[in-house]
Amino acid sequence: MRRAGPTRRTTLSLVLLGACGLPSDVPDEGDDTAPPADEVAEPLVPGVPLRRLTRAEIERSLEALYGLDLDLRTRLPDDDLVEGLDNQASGLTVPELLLEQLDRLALELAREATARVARPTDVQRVEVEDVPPATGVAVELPSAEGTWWLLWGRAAPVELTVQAPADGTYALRVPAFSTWGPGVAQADLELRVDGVTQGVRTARGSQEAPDHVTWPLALTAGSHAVSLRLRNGSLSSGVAEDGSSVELGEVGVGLDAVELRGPLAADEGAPGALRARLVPCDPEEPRAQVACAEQVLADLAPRAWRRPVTSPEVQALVRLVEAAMDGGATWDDGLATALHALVLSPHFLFRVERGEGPVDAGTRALTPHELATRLSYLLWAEPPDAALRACADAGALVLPEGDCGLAAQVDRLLADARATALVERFGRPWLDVADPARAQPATDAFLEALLLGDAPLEAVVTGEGMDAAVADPSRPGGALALPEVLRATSEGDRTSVVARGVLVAARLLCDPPDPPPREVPMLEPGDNALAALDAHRANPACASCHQGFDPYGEALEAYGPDGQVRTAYADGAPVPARATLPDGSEVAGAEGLADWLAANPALRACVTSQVGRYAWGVPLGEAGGLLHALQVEGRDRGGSMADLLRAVALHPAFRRLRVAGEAP
Amino acid sequence: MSVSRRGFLKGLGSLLPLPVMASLPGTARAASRSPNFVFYFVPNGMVPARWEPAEEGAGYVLPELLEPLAAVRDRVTVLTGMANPPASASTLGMDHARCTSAFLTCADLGRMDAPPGYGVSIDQVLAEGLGRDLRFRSLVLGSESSLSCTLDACARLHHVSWSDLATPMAVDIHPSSVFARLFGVAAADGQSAAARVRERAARQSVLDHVIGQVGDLQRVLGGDDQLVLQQYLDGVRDLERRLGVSGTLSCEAPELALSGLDPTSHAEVMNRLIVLALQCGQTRVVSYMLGHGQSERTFGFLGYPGGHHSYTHSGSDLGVRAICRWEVARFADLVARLAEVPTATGSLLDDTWVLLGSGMGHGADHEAVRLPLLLAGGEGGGFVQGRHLRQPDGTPLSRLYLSLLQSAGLPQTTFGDDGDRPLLELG
Repeated sequence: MRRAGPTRRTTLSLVLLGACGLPSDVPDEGDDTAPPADEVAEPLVPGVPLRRLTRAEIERSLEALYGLDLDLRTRLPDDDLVEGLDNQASGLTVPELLLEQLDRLALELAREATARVARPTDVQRVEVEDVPPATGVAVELPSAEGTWWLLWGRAAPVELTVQAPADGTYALRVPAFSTWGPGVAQADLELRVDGVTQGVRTARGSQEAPDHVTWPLALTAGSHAVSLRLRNGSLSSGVAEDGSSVELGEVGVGLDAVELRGPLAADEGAPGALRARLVPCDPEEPRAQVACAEQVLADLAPRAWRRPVTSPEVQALVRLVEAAMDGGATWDDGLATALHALVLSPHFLFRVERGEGPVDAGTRALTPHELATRLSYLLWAEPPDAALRACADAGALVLPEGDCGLAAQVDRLLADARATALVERFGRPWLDVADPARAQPATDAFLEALLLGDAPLEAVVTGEGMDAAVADPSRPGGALALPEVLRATSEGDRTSVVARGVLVAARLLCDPPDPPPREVPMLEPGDNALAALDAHRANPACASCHQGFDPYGEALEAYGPDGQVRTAYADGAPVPARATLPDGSEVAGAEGLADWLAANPALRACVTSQVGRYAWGVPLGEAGGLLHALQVEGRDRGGSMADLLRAVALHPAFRRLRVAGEAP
Repeated sequence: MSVSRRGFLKGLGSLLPLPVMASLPGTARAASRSPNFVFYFVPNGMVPARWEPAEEGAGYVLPELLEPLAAVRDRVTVLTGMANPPASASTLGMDHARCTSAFLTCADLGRMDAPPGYGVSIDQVLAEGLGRDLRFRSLVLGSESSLSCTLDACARLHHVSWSDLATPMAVDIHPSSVFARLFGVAAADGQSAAARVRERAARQSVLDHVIGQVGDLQRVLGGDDQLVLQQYLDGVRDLERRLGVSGTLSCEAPELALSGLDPTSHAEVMNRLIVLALQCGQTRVVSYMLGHGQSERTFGFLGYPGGHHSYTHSGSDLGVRAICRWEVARFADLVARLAEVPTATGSLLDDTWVLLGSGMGHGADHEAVRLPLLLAGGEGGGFVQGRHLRQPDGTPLSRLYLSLLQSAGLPQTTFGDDGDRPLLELG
């Protein structure tokens, strides 16, 4: 389950892939038919169906819930990609295999979370005879090693000082036995630390078989006064095995030493590391077991389900613990059952959005926690953190101002390192370089700067405004000049003008070619890429489609299959210096193509629609007014990709939900 | 009454329809149970001219692409002349998507007006009929991860198994995952009976809990969301069904290398896991994709470093031929492994039908005609293997599936868009 080397293969195979379904008639900023931004009071709110978490989101959500580092790529099935993205509603079915594997995973994690781990810890041991109480006597026992101190009747307490090396959880352990042995009358010991009682424990061992009496302690670093007292030394009668009353005189206890064990990452019988984080209470106390389960689950459930959880919901989880214990399970196993249910729950797996408040034009406002969830999965691909949850709890997320207001939180999320998740979740799939086995750091650096920096959106093709270290000015073309992108659009030792052309057409202009008609023959690629180009031009059946995207690839021919700059092919033929684009423009190489794309309003429209479908999980084809508004808003905010993401996250449509059955 | 296999075959020849065969007392299968099924999908078609034997019957000469079958040819039948008309008629735009998604469904998975229950693949029909008392109604396995694809056709390239038009069966491509699913239950063997009872009760209580929650959601969420909720509920119900199935394994987990595998080793480990799943009674139905529908897997280890799909459209067919032979060798490995597992009456292969096929005939032209089909096993029911059976051109693939359904003793009389009668000649 731990993170291992990459296993996923992804190959750019756009050549025969068809229409992406995105609108090719996205209104551009100069389109007079589109409503101006300020008149789009309530643009169409996309209808977002119930979506489950993607595999990557499940992984990050479980990591956040349990504080573990997980790699679930071989533990959960692949999601079906839709135009490269894994978070699209149409690809997120709920196959049986997913449930089977999530069930197994939930159980394993629940067991890990409740496991007690034995690890060596520091032990301070003080012999009682070295701090002798005012009463009692030291004895040697034939049955147990060392010197024991016997106390009985109205005994004086054992008093000593212990040093806690650090803040943390400790166990104070006393080897002890009752002089009467078990079955008649056992000695009760009370522990006080710094004058505060830590509870009474019974010494269950006998002289022949001493036992340990243990108290869990939470101590701050420093010295602490410990006092151990026999509580029932004056007890005058007990009960014999046959049930009859026995005159005792007094009750006695034998004590060997006082041991302070810890701080406990873990110790036998003490919480394991993960368990210590999740279980802040002591389930050993029978009367506290239910309250402890309730405490743990009331903390975890809102994080697992990303919303406030009602008291009946917590009680239903606690009942799972109780039912397991009624059946003979330990508290630990009972809690594991409830944790299992917490993760298998539809409230964990699905992003349930119901909204609240009045229905207006077929839409309703998201609840603050639903909005927080949308925001965090959009910008971090993981569930809301404590700060975002607190803002949602306070109902402040919808406010225009304040630290908890939406704008401030969007800025905080974008500035956080977790926002780099956008590179892997959105940037790489968008540009069809999602194969981790072929990933190059330069691509990540470029995408991070593009998505989260100040450069204008058009820098995706120009590199304008970006640091020279991430966008080499001597290699025009922005992302189209990245060696990884160029490699992914090449086949073996030759480039593919088709693959490169389709990448530009489909992902930067949202104008993907249709699949080739069945009667069109497949052509044999020639020695250099231009042979394919010439063949496509020569055959009218090919030309009608290929002239719509091949030229973009032709303009990138100065970059070889691995991105190397070249002026001629292996056979000596020069690479073309100019290409004639589908609209008739003649451009000079990658730089010319980049300038043409940057000046083309379709680029911003397309990038907006790509970000939009990532944000909502559906293509925004039916919400043309929204796309236009986002374009304008993103540009007005400054024009960078981050500004576009802000425009999305702050747009009223992002915090509203279309109500089922009430299409506007 | 007792009929020896040889005697049975002598007496009845090869023209007996399967339904009759399955009910005949005295055959190995009638004495035990209906057979297992393995559907072995290979991507991008083959090269028919180098695949189809010139001669019919038992004495045919192995064509080039079938040479890797040599060691098991007596246990395999080559079926030629078959087609899948629903793939050709499909409304899906992408050739590989329509051929792949129709391969086991014989249906048009691009249909917008499909009735409920449309588009169920043959393995899932068999799983529903045979698998209810088993830990896995079916295993859906593969070897390649997803790649980028278009809006509508994406899933239709990556899945041959469908529980209906809208629901592809997720493909398990990781041997470590398959192994854990098959043998993970063994961890419970060391438990006391009381602990097992407790664990089962706990798991049932978890399922009851989430079933209650999904019921609440079904009441408050809209009509569009009901489909995914139902998929979730179906999955949970299957977990519940499994709780009622004995977790005891009838065989031990072997030592297997499960990671760091090259393509050949991966395919062989998957073959071993398929055999183990059947041998250990974990399932009766398996589908396996040796590549997804438009595989660009590279074959540098065969001397062909380009992508499989690209080779199907290159001028030379040398690369494709090498890849096709490699695929047939992987299938032959599976057949040989099944034949090595003894049963009371013969071998596991006798009780298993194994079908290799692709969604298209010639990878270069994307047509669902002249389909490459190899049918192995099934001899426990009296079927005579080792022949080349040429069918009339265009014989629907769905008829073969109908024959398989009937050999399983299932009541269906139609299958897919055009399965109107069994392929009687099979018997």
